[in-house]
Amino acid sequence: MRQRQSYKNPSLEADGRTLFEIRPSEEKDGLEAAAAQKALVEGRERKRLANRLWMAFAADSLEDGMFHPAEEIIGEALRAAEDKPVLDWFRTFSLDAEQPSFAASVLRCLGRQTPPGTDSWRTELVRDGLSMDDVEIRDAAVQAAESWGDRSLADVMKAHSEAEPWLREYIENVISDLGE
Amino acid sequence: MFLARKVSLAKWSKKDELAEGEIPADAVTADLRTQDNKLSFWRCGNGEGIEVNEAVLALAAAGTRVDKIDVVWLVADELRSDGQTLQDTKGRTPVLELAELHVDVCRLDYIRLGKVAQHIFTAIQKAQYLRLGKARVKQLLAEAVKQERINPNDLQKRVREELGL
Repeated sequence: MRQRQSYKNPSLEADGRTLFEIRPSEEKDGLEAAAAQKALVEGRERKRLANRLWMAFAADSLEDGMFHPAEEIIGEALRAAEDKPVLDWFRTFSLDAEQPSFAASVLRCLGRQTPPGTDSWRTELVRDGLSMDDVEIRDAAVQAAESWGDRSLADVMKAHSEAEPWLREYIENVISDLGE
Repeated sequence: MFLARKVSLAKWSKKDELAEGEIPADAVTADLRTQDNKLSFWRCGNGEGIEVNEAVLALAAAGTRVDKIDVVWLVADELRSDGQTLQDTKGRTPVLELAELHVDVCRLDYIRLGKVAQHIFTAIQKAQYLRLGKARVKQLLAEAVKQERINPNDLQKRVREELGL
């Protein structure tokens, strides 16, 4: 049987006095509760972010060559990420096969940001975006790749076989530009 | 004579939930947003490369950022014979010499807008479209600035920044 764990206040340690004591099961419960609370708060923030983006795209459609307010929402969220899994959220939004228009819009706006995340995060996102059935998401993935300009993304696109002629041609051009 | 309009090709592609030949409503609501029951087009001659590029330049120079661009071109006479009203109007673009190429399709109601959508859908199927990637659009704008066809001060701040001006 495990011993009861004591937590000592360093300032009282000299006296050998224990500030409080927690049983292992209580400690586990406490950690689980804290994790659950964190997950709850993050889940709410994720939903709130998704709603803000939804409303932004509902108010104004995303147009080539035109600034969209969702760019600011995404930029703010990336800057205020701290220890929140914001990149995971954006990845989920961008690859949402149930809502391909929303997904493509988020991915296009991510492409308009200073390259977010790490090289490997962007590579995975583009690779997964290209594997989607919906052409809007695949197109958004290529646009993001073109905009971020990572050379490593050329390999991801080279490995992709595209059925849509105009997108195939665009991919070839972007691969050529990234290689320069 | 062809008339070019900016669209988003991906929106016009076949969608799983729609049958072959059905035009996605998202394409219509996103790409055919009217103002005063008008849609904006740019004359692009016979739809040859240089002429289409001029329409792209007019559109891209009027943007607030540099992006890839998709344009589709339609036969003006086919629009007229389909009951559309075409009116030459001055286009809003920093490339002043191209402003005269602008045409509005006017007096659009629900039915006539649907007909325009059908023309665009058919034009895309006939490969009457051009996609220029962001790098090419940037190049086009930079050349126009170099040739003094655009006053850099007439470009939006972000566009100037992207061009390094």
